[in-house]
Amino acid sequence: MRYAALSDRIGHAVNLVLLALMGLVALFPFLHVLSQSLSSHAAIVSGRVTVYPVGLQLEAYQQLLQDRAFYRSFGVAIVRTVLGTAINMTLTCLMAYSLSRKHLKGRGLIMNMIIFTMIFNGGMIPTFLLLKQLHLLDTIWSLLLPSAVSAFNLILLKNFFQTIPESLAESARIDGAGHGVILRRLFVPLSLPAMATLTLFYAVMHWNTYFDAVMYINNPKLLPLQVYLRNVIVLNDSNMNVTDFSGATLISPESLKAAAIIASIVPMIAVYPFVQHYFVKGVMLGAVKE
Amino acid sequence: MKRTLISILLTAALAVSALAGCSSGGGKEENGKNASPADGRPTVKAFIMGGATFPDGEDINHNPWMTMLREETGVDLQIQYGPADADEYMNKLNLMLASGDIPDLFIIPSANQSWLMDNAKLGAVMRLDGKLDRYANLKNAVYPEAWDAVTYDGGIYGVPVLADGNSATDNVYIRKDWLDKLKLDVPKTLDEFSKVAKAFKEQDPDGNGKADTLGLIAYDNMLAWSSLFGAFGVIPGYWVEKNGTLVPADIQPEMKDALAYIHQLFADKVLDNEWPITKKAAYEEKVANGKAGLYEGSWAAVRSEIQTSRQNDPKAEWIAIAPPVGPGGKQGVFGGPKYKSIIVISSQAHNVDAILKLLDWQAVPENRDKFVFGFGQYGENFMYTKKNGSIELNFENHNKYGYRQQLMFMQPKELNEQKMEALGPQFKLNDMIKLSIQYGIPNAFTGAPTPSMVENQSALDKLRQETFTKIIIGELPVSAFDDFVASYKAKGGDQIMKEVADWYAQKK
Repeated sequence: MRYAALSDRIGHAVNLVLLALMGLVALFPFLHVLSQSLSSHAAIVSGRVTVYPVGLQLEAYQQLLQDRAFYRSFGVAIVRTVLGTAINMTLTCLMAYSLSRKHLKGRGLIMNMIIFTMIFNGGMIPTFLLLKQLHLLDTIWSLLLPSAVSAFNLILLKNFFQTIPESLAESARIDGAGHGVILRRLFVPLSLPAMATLTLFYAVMHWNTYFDAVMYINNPKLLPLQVYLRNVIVLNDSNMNVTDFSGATLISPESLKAAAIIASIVPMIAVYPFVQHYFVKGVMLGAVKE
Repeated sequence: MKRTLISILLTAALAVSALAGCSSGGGKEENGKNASPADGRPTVKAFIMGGATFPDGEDINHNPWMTMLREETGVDLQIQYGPADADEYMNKLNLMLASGDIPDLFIIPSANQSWLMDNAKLGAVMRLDGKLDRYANLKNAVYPEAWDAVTYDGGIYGVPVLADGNSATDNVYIRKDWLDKLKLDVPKTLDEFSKVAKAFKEQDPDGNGKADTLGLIAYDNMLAWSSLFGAFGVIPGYWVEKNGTLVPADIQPEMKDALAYIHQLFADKVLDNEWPITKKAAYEEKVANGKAGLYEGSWAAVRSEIQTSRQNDPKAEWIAIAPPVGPGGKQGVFGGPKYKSIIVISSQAHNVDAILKLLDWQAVPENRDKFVFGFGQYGENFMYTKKNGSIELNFENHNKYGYRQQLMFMQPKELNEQKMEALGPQFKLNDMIKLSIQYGIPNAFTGAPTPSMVENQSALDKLRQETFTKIIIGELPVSAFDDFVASYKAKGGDQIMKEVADWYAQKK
């Protein structure tokens, strides 16, 4: 027993070290960006900033937090994420439920049509023309509706629903429940882990996407945070004349970029722990005895 | 049976409700879009690259400069503010053209010449020759050879716009304090340059007792250390005139000499041996943190990496010097193009005269100054202050209202010396620009990409980059240059040379 325990402990130690190393590798870029956002221009340009701030300054955050466009785009991003995820989850649940019912006629055909969209799509210009004809350009809907259902997530959820024993739905029907009640009271609560995962997928997608906003939105008041962020980064890189930022200022464009990046990932990091809670929950245990 | 029906209905209802969402979202948008003033001024819709930030209550169409511009020119300019990134901007422009929502005026980065040619061919772009004659200021703002770049089939299809620093590119900079410390003179010839570089590397010019300084530094973009090639009169990727026609510098015997020389620098460890894997930021870092004392950098470097170097080490004294003179008496850095972007007018535009009038107005140096130094209440004591007869920009407002420079579509040919001075007299930017232009070796081919260039040039550029890198680091012998010339010609180079020769003959 003792020998086993010793090798066990060595194994644990090796695991611990390896995992810690991997964790550090993942953590390093965050620390680097964070310390850049807090460092002085001279220190960044001279390459002296690694994982802790050199020449501490807070001006980058000050400037960022004074910019009204930052708050506005932050607000747009939150509206987009919340509203978009709500639309996504509603539609995906309804569709996945219908398609998971074996007695639905034409189920195979509909599934094939959905899979078709995963492989082929209209391309950028036809999609743009479609949105234009639907008068969706320059509205928040152009960011929400084209991605209302993700075929991949739909198939995931449909398969998850199919693993829920038919007999559960049957027993509910015996008690007089219709499809709405079955979906709401049985399927959704029973598949919370899947729901949480999909919600997270959709939310992260909405939070991170910028390309559709760049193409479909002209009104600067409707541009989400990622576009703001991209403008901060791209503009200093290439678009403006080199003479346009003064070498004399204390804030480096680098720290402003880093500050904007940090500010944009904080909300996602804050949401993660709450959602993660659901990943480990096993609700299905003991629901059916066969 | 009944349940199946319900399921189908449910799916159908889904589709319907999604569509209903669409139409309800659309109504709002249409109302806001058609707002335009009804005072009879010609309206011009422009689509420009975006990205700037605006003070509270302002946007690209509502700000003091736009008001001034509209009043002065009598043109109701309406700007659609596009993406900040060049590729995304071009994507969106293509979408707008395809969807029939076509701006009258748009400004494309100079890298999109072949896009311009394609669209000129399709008839999407307005042909301008003949129309420009009445606009003397506009014509005067463009270098004659720059028109070549926007010429398709004998017609002019755009207005080339100069960069802020005219056609200035790089200068060679050296640490005067290091030279003095090691009792060396300012190097003039290529051999003196390599002696100085060797001394900088080996004789501890920063006096910290460690062998941590570098000789000559370079990075993966060969144009950024073009002075070494310029000493042989050849710039990678450029065209030179020889025997009455144009030939690519890449395959000239002088290029072989240049590579042999640079390889020797590498072998002697005078050239930083990390260069093929060094990026621009890391290159500038070596200057900023006092590791390098001799390098080629942008004319604006005195306000960026050199400025940081001075902040890190107050003793650092940088001077700009003439590029090295090679064995054949040649010297120079890569010359900049005579334009950085192209103003294009759609063939659907109705108010061509209004557009040209607007551009003509902007091409006057005094009108440019209204954008640089402001005007009225946004001028003196706001954007700048006068001190001892010279003008100093107020950087807080200069940066806050940085967007105003995006409204300046044109750039007069006369260098804005006053602005360069106002950015900080200690930087001597005007001298930096003039020095760079003085030693710039221009690309002798100024036309738009020829058909086989569009097809093959990027593959040839890649081949050049790989071969030259390998020769310099000694992975290939210098004699491999001859094989490179053969395969350059075989892989489309011959055809390109023929097309360029035709272009040159026609131009003469």
